[in-house]
Amino acid sequence: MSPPRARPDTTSGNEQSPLAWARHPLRLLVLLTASLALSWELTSWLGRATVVLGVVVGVLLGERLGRSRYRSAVLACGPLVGFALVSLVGDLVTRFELVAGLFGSTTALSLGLVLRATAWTVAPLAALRAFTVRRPGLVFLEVAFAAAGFAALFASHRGGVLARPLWLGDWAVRHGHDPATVLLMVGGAAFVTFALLLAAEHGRRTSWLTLLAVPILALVLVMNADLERLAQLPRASDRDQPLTAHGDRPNQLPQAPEADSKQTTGRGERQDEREGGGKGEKGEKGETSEGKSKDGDGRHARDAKNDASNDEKGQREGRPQEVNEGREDERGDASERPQERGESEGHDTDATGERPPDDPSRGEGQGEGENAPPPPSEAPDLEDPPPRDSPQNREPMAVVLLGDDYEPPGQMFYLRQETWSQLGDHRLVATTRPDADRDVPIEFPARPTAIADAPPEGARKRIRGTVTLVHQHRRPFALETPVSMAPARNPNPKRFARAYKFEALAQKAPHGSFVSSRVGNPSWSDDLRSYYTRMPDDARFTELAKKLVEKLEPKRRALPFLQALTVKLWMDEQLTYSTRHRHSGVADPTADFLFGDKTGYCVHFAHAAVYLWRSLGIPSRVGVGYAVNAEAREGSALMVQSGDAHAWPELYLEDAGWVVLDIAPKKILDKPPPPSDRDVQRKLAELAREPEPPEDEDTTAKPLAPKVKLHIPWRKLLVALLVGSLLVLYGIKAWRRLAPRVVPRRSLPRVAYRAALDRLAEVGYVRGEGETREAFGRRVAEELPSFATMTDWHVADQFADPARPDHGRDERDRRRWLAALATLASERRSLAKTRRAWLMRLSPASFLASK
Amino acid sequence: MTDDLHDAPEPSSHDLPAREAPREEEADGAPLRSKHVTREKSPPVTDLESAFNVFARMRERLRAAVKGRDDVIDLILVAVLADGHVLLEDFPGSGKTTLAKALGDCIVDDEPDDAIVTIRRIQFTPDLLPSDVTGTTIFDPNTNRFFFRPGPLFAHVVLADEINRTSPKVQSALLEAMAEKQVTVDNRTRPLDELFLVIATQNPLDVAGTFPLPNAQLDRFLFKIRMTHIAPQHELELLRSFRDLKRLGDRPELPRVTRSEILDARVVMSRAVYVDEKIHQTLVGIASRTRADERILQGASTRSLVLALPALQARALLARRNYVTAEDVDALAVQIFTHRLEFAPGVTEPDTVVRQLTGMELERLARGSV
Repeated sequence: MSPPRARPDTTSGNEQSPLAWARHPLRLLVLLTASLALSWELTSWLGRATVVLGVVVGVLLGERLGRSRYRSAVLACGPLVGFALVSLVGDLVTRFELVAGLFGSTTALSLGLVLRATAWTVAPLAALRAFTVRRPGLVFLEVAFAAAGFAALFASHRGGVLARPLWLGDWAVRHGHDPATVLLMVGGAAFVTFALLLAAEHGRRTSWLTLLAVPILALVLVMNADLERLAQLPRASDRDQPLTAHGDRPNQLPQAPEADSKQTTGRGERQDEREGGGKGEKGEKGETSEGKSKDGDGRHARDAKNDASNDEKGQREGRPQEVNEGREDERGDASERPQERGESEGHDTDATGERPPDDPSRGEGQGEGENAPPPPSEAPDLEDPPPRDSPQNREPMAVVLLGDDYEPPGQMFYLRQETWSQLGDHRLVATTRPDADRDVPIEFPARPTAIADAPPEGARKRIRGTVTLVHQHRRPFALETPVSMAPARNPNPKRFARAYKFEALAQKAPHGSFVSSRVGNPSWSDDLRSYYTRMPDDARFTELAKKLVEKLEPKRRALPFLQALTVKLWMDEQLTYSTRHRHSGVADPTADFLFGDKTGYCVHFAHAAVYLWRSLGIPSRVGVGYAVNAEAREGSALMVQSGDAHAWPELYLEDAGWVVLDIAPKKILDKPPPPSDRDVQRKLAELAREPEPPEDEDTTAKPLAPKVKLHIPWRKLLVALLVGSLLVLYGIKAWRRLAPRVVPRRSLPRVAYRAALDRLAEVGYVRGEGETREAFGRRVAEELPSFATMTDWHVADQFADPARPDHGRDERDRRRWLAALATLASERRSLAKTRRAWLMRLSPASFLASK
Repeated sequence: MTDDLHDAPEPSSHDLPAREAPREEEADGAPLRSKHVTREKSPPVTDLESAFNVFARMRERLRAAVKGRDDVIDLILVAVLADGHVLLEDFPGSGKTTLAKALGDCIVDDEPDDAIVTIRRIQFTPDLLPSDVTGTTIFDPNTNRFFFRPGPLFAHVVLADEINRTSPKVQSALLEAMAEKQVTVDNRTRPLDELFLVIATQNPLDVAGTFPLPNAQLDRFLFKIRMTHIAPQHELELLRSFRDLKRLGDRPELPRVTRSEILDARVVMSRAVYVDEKIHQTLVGIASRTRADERILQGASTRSLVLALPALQARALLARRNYVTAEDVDALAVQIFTHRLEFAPGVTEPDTVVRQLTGMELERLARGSV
C-alpha cells in the first residue's frame, strides 16, 4: 500500500563529505610519493622526472580504463602487454649500436632509462587504478602499494645505514635518538595517514575492513622479505647515480679538522676518483702513479694537505684506469667478477694502492699491500705493489678497541676481512661454495649475529672488541676468528663511517703447541676437504714441497704441522720481499715468483705458501685483511692504517681451527716506512671510545631494541592468528545456527529470525541498506515463501504490545520456528544457484553479511 | 476549473441558499432526498476488526471511483482516521477533485438534524472573503433578528480547491478552522463538526498571482501528497469505464460508511493500536537528524511528531495490524515530514533527503533487532 519508490540511497551523502573534492589530487600525491620512494634509489633525476610523469599518466589512464566497458581480463592484459613492449624497446635502444650511433651514447642511455621508467610506472599504476575504480574494495592494493613504497625507503635505514635524508638522520643522532627508529616512525606515520585518507575517500565499511588486510600483508612481507638484503640494495646501486654519490657517504666529505690532514687528502682523492673513473683517459697511468709516489716519498704526512690538489689531479687521470686496465687486459680476473664491480673496486684499490707498506721491522708487516686488502676491501691484485714508505700508507682506516687484554702469539694482530680459498685461473679467489669459509662474515651486522663454524676453543681466548671504521668498507673485519658480531652506535658520525662489535676466539696458544695436531676438520665432507687442498696443475710445487719435507727427521716427517712449518721457515730464508716485483702479465704469478726471481710481496708469499701446503695435503687458504703490529697498540686501542693491509696463509688445524702461519722474509728490498703517528692514533682512539664508556652494553642495547622484536615468530603468530580467527568465526556461525534450539522463548523470535537471516545470506539474500524487514520479507518470499511468516513473527515480537498475553503468540513457539527453519532450508535447497551457495555455506564469515 | 467531470450535483457552496430549511423538513420524517443522509444508527464500532471494516468499505468505494490512485487513497484514508488534513499538489486534470468528491460521497451523515452537510467545495479566488468560507450573520426581516448562516466549512469533507489562489486572510480563516475545528464569526465562536476534513489542492506550476502558503500554515496539514500521473493501463481502464464512473453516485451495491462509524473507529484505533517505544525513538531520531542535517534549515517540529503518531496507528490499522511497525514509519515519513521542513537553497529533491534520513534511522532500528 505504500507508494512505490526507490530505497533511500544512504551512500550518496558521502559525495558531500569535505574530503570529496580533494580525493583525486590526494590519491595522486600518495601514489606519486610512493612511486618516488620506490624508485629514488634506482634512478637519476631524469628517471625521477619520468616516474612523476608516468604516475600521472598511469593514474589518468587507469581511471579511464576502469570506467570503460572492457572486460577485466583486458584491463589486466593491456598494461602487461604495454609494459612488455615499452621495456623491450627500451632495452633495444641501449643494446643496438645503431641508436647510440645516431644520437650519441648518452642520449641512448637516457632514452632507454626513460622508456624503462615509463614502462615500470605507467603500466602497474594504470592496472592498479583501473581495478580499484572497478572494485572499490581493492583500494587496499593501493594502500599496500603506498606502504611498500615507504617500507622500501625506510627499510634501507635499518642496521644504521643513515643514508638518505641526512638532515633527519643527523638531527636524530644529535638528539640521541636512534635514527632508524625515527625514520621508521616517520614512515609509519606517513603510511597510516595515507591509508586513512585513501580509505576515507570511499567511506564505506568495506574499505575499512580491507584496511585490516594491510597489517596482514605487511606481516607476510616482513616474514618473507629479506629485509637486510633489501637494505643492501641502495648501496649496490650507488654508483649508478653520479649525482648522489657524494651525498651517500657523509663521512667522506672533506670536513676533517686540522687534527689529521691526511684524512682530508684521502677523502678528496676518493671522490675525485669516483668521478674520474668513468671518464679518465686510458694509458699513461704507469708514469703518473710512479711520478706521484716519488713525489710523496719525501713528504711528511702533515704536508699531505698541501699536496692534495696535485694528488687529485694525478689520480683523476691515471689511477682508476690503470687498475681497471690491468685487470682486464693482463690478468683476466675481471671476468670472474661481476662487471660493475670493477669500477668501484678500481677506485678503492687505487686509493690504497698508493700506500706503502708499514712497519719494516716485522717481517709479516711487509706484505701489505698494494692492492691486497685496502679499505673498502677491493679485490687484490698481484701487480702494482705500493711503495712501502709512501705517506698514504699511514692513512687511518679504522680503530679497533679491544675489550680484553690480549697479546697475540705471533706479535701481530690479524684482522681478517676476506679469504681466498677457491682455485681461480691465476690465483686463489673468494669462495663460491656455500659450505666453505663460513667463518668469515660477509655483511655488516644489522643485529647481534652469530657466525657459523666457530673454531674449537681450546687453544683460543675469547676477546671482545669494537671496530670503528674511519672509511667505509665493503665487508666487516674483525680479529681472527670472530664468532659473533653486533652493531654498535657510531660514536661520531662526522668522523667515522660505522661501528660494530665483535667477539672473537683469538689464538692464544703458541704455534709450538700445535706440533702434533692433525689438520683438517673431520666433519668436512670429502669434497670440501679436497676443495681446500686443490692446487694448480704444476708439478714443481709438489716437487719443491717434497724436497723440503725430506729434510725433516723421518719420525717427524709425518706431522703435517711440522711439514707446514718447514715450508714456512724455508720461505722465510729463501725469499725476498719487494713491492716492485709484480710478476704481472704471466700465466701463474705465483710460480713466476717462486721459481723465478723469488722476489715478491705478501700476496705472492701467501699464495706460494698455500700452494706448497696444499701439495702436502694440508688444507689451507689465503687470509686477507689487516695485520697490525702488536707494538703499535696504544693501550686497548689499535689503529689500523691503510698500510696494514696484508694477505697471509692460513691452515686448518683440528685442535684450533684456521690458524695464521705467516711468512716473515728476512730479505727486504723496500725502504722501511715512516713510523706511525702516535698522536693521531691516540686522538682517534679517544674519539672512538668517547661515547661508549662504561655503559657499553646500554648503547648497543638501545638501537638493538626494535630489532630484537623482529625475532618474534611471525610465521607462527600469523598462523595462530588465522587459525584463531577462523575458529572464532566458525564458533559464532555455529552458535547462531544452533541457538534457536536452546535460547529462552523470550528471545526466540530474535535468535531464530537471525538464524534464518544467516541461511538467507548464505544464498545471497541480504537485506538492503534502509530496507525494512517487511519489504525484505516480501522480496525473499517470492522464492522462499516460508520466510514471510518468520518475518511477521519477528516484526510482531519487535513492535507488538509486549503486555499482551503469552498465550497464542506464534512467535514464541519453538516448534513452529524450528519447523519454519527446516522448511526454509528445504526451500533453499531447491534454489538454482548451488555452486555459490556451497561456497557461502562453508565460508566462516557468511553471517557477517546478514543484518 | 478543469476537473469538474464528476462535480457533485450541488452547486458551489458559497452561493448555496441556506440548507437548514429543507433539512428541517426532512427531520420531520419526510423521506430523505439524499443517499448521504440517514436516520438509522449503524452498529457501534468497538473492536479493531470492525474499525478496519469501516475503512475497507471506504477504500473499496474510493478505488472504484478513482483508478490508479490506490496509494493516494490509502493516504487519505489514513488522514481521515488520524483526524488530519490533506494537501494535494498536482497538475490540473489529475483527479484531485474527483478523489475529494468520491470521499465525500462515501460518507453518510447519520445526524441529519444538524447544520452539517457531507461535503462542500470552495473554489478559492483572489476576491474571496473570509465570511464566504466561515459563514455570516444575516438579518431576517420576518423575525427582525439576525441569524447565522453557516459557510461551507460546516461540512464533513471540505474540498478547498486551489487554496493558494486566495488572499492570506481567507487562508488564515480556513487555517484557524483546520487547527481548532471552530470558526469565529461576529465574535461568536461556533464549533465545526467532529469529523472535519479539509482536502486542499494547489497547482505547483501555475503560480502567477497566487499566495503561496507559508510553512507555518503548511504545518497544519498532516500530509502533503504529490500526485503523479497515473499509469497508462489505469488510464485505459478509466477511459473504458468512463460512463460507469459517471453514474458512480448511483451504485448502491458499494457500501458507504456513516459519520459515527468513522468517529468510533478513531477512538478504537487510538486505544487499541500499540505504538512501541522503539517507534517513538525512531521518530525522535528522524527529527534530530532533520535538525542536524545541513541541507535542512529548519528541522521537524515536535508537533509533527505528535501528529505522526495517529497517522502511524491509522496505517497499521489499515494493514490489519494492532501495532505500528517500522514499515509504517517508512511509508509515511516523506508525506509527514517533507512539507514541514525548510530546505537550504539548492536542495532540489527534498523527498530524497527525508527518505535518506529516515532510511538511516530505520537501518539503525533494524540492526538493533537481531
